Amino acid sequence: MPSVKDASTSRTEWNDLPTAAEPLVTIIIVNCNYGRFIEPCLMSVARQDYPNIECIVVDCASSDNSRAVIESTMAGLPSSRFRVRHRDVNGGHLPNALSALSDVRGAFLVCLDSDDLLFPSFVATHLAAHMASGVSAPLSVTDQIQIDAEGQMLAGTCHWHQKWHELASPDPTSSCRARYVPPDWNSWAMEHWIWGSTSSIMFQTRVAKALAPAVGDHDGFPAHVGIDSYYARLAHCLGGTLLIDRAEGAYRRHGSNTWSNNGVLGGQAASGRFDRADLFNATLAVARKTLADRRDDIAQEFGDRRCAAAERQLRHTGEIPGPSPRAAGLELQA
Amino acid sequence: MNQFVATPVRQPGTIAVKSPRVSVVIINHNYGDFIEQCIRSVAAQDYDNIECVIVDCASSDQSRAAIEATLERLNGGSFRLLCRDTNRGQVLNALDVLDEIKGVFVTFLDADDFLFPTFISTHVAAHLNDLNSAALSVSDQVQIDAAGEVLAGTCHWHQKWREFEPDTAWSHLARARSWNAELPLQMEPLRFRLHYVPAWWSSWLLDRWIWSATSGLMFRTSLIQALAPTMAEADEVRIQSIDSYYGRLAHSVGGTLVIDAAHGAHRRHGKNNFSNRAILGGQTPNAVRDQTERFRILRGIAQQVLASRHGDLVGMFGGELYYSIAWQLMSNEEFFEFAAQHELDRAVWERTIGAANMALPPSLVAAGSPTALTRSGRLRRRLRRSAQRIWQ
Repeated sequence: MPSVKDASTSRTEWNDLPTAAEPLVTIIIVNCNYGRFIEPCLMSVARQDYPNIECIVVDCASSDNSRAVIESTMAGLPSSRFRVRHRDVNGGHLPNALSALSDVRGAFLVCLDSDDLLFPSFVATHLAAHMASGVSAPLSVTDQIQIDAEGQMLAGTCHWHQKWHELASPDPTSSCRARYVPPDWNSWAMEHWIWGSTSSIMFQTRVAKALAPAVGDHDGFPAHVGIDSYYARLAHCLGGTLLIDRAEGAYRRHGSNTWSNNGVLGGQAASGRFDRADLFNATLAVARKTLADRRDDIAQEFGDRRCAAAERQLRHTGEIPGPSPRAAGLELQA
Repeated sequence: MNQFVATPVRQPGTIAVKSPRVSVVIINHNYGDFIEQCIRSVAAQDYDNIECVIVDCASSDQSRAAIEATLERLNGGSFRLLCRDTNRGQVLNALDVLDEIKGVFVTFLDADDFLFPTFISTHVAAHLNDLNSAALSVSDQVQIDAAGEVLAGTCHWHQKWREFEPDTAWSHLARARSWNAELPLQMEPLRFRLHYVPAWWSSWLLDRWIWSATSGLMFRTSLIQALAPTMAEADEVRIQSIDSYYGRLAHSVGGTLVIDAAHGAHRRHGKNNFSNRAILGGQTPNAVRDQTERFRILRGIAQQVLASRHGDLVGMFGGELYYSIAWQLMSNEEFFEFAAQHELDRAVWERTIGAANMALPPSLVAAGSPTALTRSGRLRRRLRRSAQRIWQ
């Protein structure tokens, strides 16, 4: 276990983090005007039961009490693990997170939305899936409970995690809760979505860096293409997803979410009022551009064959949805 | 063990995750004999985030005094009494107080029934399961008489046997986990038998009834508000009860969670609106009434609500779900007539039935218009299959 006894004497030293057997996990919290939610969010990182974590808070031009709340919360947390960056612009979900990518030192990366929070076992659960023998995937995903602005429980699952696939044809002999879903299960069919939301995903940092889109000065970048919609679909089609059927965090519906702006209605009723096709097509355009611009980097990371297969999938979108992701997946040992 | 948060850091001002508030609405009209037991059964719940709204609608018996005396003994801040000087029937009385409901979930408790102490905690645990959320949950009730003597351990119209029907759509959530306030940041295995019945298992067949009685249901408040008929609509057609309207219609949006145990009591006191016969056993009808006519009226009002709130409900449910519900509620002819009024949504409702068209013989597809397609006897079944895909 790493020791932090000298944390107070080396507040600005980033180079003497303990070298532990456990890989370092970086959690980026991007915040813009969620001062009313960011304290439980930060504390949920501080209370992870996995020790080797660094956390970068990126506050993007907040005009509410965010800055004060962040400062007072961080005062109780070790500066060797937690630090803040202030940006004077709010460039949108994806560009804001990308602005911190060069500072990420962990082998694994979580982009936590500042209105959400993690269960204490979030990082450990994701890492266990990544460390399962014989599988290497660019990303892993868990489910989330849903809470409201006050923290009241709304639901024990996010239905867009699509666990119903398992309900439709349950296998009574299986007690599997984690699967590797291979990239052949096409992530570029619009109805295919198993990636929860941004705060429920852990990426391999190398993959996040290799697939980082060019955001330019943000003006030309489609603001509604988020970390989840872009990275999840693109990383999956290159290397597959570790799909864990367990809630390991909370998704907050506070009434002004960009996507989930409806109440919870139950079953598969829509989560929000937005144009799915429009989001899908904008995401697709960014993904195609990245794959064209950075083909060499990506081929180096994933191999030529995978890269070509991904290009094929990106050309032939809108196909009829395939089998259930859970049926297509390989079960991982508990 | 967390290694790097040394001493208790300043605790967050709010608890990060907490129990959802549950509203219990008790509507009373001249049930002075039973209301005290009813109210006390809410006070005795083993769940703490409850608000209880008691609406007394122009009772002429001792109700008012009984309610006031009971509330005084409870002296709880979470109970409120509202008095109305007219009695407009169960549904209108309930619609009238919708604005008062602040809970995430709501139970309408009939004043002659009562709940077991586990009712709310069990229903909330069911709603918060980690496999599928639903529009409403239902548990069984024991049956008692006016004196409180138990007549039966189940309400047979709860139709538990449907679980065993061949090709049933019911899923047993055997491996579900759920949430409780003691360990707010993890999920625990569910301790009771629970089934999820998906919305595409149509609630619009007369002989299907799994929704127990009003006092055995817990709804998501979001649906009660979204699907509320206007007072004028409800008054005009005389919807007979909360369970029949909201049970069936909410189910077709988000499905039902069926809790396999009795968590309350249904009282047959001889003057019930529906259960006016003695218990005869098995599946013998429960009462004398005109089921077919009642059902026709109900379907009419549901269609009307769906049509009159088109824009709102499409935004809320998503177009495919909206048109799938419409089509569940309507015959093929009614559906295509209805859909044709929404030319702008044509792509959506065509996609809704698209899978069915794909599966049709080319000769029929070539025949062109959807009305030609409806001549195919098998279309309806195919449409159902496509809805199945949408709804799951």
